[in-house]
Amino acid sequence: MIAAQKSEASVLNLYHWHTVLVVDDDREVLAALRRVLDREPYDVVTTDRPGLALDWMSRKNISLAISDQLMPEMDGDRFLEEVWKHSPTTGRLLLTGHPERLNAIPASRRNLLKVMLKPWEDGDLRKTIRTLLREREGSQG
Amino acid sequence: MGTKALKTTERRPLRSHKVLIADDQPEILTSLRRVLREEPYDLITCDSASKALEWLAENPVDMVIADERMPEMRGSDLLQKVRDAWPQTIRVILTGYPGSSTVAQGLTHGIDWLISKPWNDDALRLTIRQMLDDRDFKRPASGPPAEPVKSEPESADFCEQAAVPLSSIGADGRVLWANRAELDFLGYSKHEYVGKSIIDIHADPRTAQELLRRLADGETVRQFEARLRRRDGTFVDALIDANVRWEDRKFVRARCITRDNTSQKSTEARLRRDRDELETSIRERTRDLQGANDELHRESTERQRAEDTQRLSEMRFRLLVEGVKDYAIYMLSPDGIIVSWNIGSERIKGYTAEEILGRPQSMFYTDEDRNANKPERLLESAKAHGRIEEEGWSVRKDGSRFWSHVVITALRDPSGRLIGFAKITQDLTERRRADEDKARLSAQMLQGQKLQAIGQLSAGIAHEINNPVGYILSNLNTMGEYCQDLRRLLKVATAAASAREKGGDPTEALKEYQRIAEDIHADHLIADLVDVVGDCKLGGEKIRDIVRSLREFSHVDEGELRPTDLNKCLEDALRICWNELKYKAEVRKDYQADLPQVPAYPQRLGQVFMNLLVNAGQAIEKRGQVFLSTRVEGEYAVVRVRDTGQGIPPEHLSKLFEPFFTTKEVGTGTGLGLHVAYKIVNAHRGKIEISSVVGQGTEFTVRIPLGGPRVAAATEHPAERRP
Repeated sequence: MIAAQKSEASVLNLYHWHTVLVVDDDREVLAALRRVLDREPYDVVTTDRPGLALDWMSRKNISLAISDQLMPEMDGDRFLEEVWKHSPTTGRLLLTGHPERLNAIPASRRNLLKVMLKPWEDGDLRKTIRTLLREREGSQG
Repeated sequence: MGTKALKTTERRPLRSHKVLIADDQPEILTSLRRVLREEPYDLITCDSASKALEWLAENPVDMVIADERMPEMRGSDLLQKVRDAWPQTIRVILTGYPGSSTVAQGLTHGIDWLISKPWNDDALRLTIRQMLDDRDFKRPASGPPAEPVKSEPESADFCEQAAVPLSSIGADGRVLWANRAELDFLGYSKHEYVGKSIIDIHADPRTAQELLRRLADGETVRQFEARLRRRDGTFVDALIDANVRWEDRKFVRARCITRDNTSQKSTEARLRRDRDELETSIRERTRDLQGANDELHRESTERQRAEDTQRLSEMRFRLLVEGVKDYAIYMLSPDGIIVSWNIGSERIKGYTAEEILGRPQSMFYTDEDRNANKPERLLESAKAHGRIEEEGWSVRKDGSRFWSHVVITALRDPSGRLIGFAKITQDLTERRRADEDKARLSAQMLQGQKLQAIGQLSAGIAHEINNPVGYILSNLNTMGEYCQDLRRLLKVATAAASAREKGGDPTEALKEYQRIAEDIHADHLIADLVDVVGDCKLGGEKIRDIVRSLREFSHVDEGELRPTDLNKCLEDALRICWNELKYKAEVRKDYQADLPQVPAYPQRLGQVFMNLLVNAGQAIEKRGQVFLSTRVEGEYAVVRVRDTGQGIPPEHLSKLFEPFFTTKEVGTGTGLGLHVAYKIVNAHRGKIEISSVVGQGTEFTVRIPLGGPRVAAATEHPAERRP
């Protein structure tokens, strides 16, 4: 593991082994995200099908769900709401290129979301994910 | 025209008329004097209205011609005064503004005629003569009995005491007044004589009646022979000269001068007896001749009258033409020399009649046209076809150009010989400008709708660009990290290699290499590097394509037809609308791979497809399908865009292509998209059709002629339609 990542990890050390789920309809985006997160201290699973992701949720414990907003099958906020219904303890991060469209999302749903903008910055993304995972660890005791 | 004008000089008026002209411009007066120099009447010119009135107070005239625009008094006001004081005077207004309201009003309020400036010399001469003649032959309406004459102090004594019998007679034939000599001549006292009817004075009542009739006809009676009855019952032969004073066409009184004819009469009586015998025989012999002569005379009078009527109508027509201001109307000789010029010509072309008459008409054309012999060719063509119409640039006196519509008509005499051309020019610059404005507005509307549509699509287009930008940037970052890892590996490998070169033990370095290679997952890294580069390239290409399509779209058509690949055109449109469709619809394409290129305006057609695709996307509420197909059908390349959306209610179908028709929410659509699509397809001479079933979907069919708009236009004519 490279030095930079180690220093980040020392600040945001994780005590549990996590699985992070990433959903985006764009396969190139998924590949890029996987590369960013590949050597982070957690498992990363990716899919371009929100429906399939929800299926996995019922079989595997997912600590964090990251989703694109605009997808043919299902909007990201809608998907994350389903995630919350399946597994309320799972963290939720919405990755969107259109923050202005978030106003259309009902406030009740929007308030529960952590939002990041596309294009993302790799370091920020890693840090945000670790922060969210740490929050999970804290809330789980 | 010249011959007609000359002919009138043969017709002398009965007496010399007086015509007074009032105009404040000395050059006009000079010019009128020159024009009317040869005319058979006296001309008085005054350079002001007051001078004219001064003259008129002392000297009665037959006609007053007044300029309308004079500083101290308008011509129409002057003529009003003339009318009040001397109603028999012919009143003519001279004006450069024949349309002005005061003048128009004048014509119905006591102005007899109007001469427009600049006048035509012949017409002017004719008008004046015609009006003087008309008045001489005018048959005044007989009015009620006139009032007794009022005594006029200055001349009363002269008349009363004159050595010639003078009297005045009312319209009913009663004596109104008589002087001393008249009373002495007939032996009456004034008291007895005044109020007597002349029928009682004439020996033969018929001569009295004839005299009255001729006077009532407006005739000045000269040397009228009558036998009068004296108070003592004796008869006296007399010669009577008389004429009538008219006021407002009313017979005021007849002025009569009576002379004793007795002595002349007795010698005459003898002579007459001899002569009468001779004459009787001559008259008998010449009766037949006379009959024929009378016939001839009647015919000639009729012809004269017909010619007068024709001349008058020609004159009025000429005045009408001269007064036309919105058209340049002028005549050319057979070789193109300008021979007449109206006020519209002056207004449109800027030359006055004096400047232009006698010069060639080719000077109205541009240098290019002249060099190409266009003026000559147009006249030749008018000569061959009788009449030609043309639009083009004309040149004014000041060198400026105007867009003109020209009609040239060849003029021929009854024998068919070419005598010249009539040319009518209209200044269409304003209309042409309006047409251009309209075309520009229409083009701006098309471009505006396109830019607006792209604007509405911009968020989606931004998203389409944003995604690749996102992963390209992230991938580049990853590649940077990969490079760092690989550099670490390379460093250890280099160290191991140099150790062996120096004869040292490389084992330790190789172990380190092994450790690092595992740490960085070197195998995976090297393999992934290919994918990373591949993904970046793909993303870059996506952005390039979107930008290319966008540029293709926002580009303003140069208005030139280009061979157009409709498949590519449709793909460009799809790329721009992709973000509007991909989350809602599965897009299925069925393109004819060998679709021939068609002459078209590619950007415009792209705009059509974009509008149709956006509509298809908006028609689908949740999820559906969009089918795109291209085909050659008959003489058309056909593009179909079908959606499985909500469909269009039948009552909306007919209004679909109208501008600003929209069922969408405010902000979603302008209602221009389909209107613009219709206009663009129309400009290609193509067709746009629609079929829709509510709840099932809508299909738009666009047919673009394979041969392009021009061929399509030609084949629209049934006679030229190909089998």
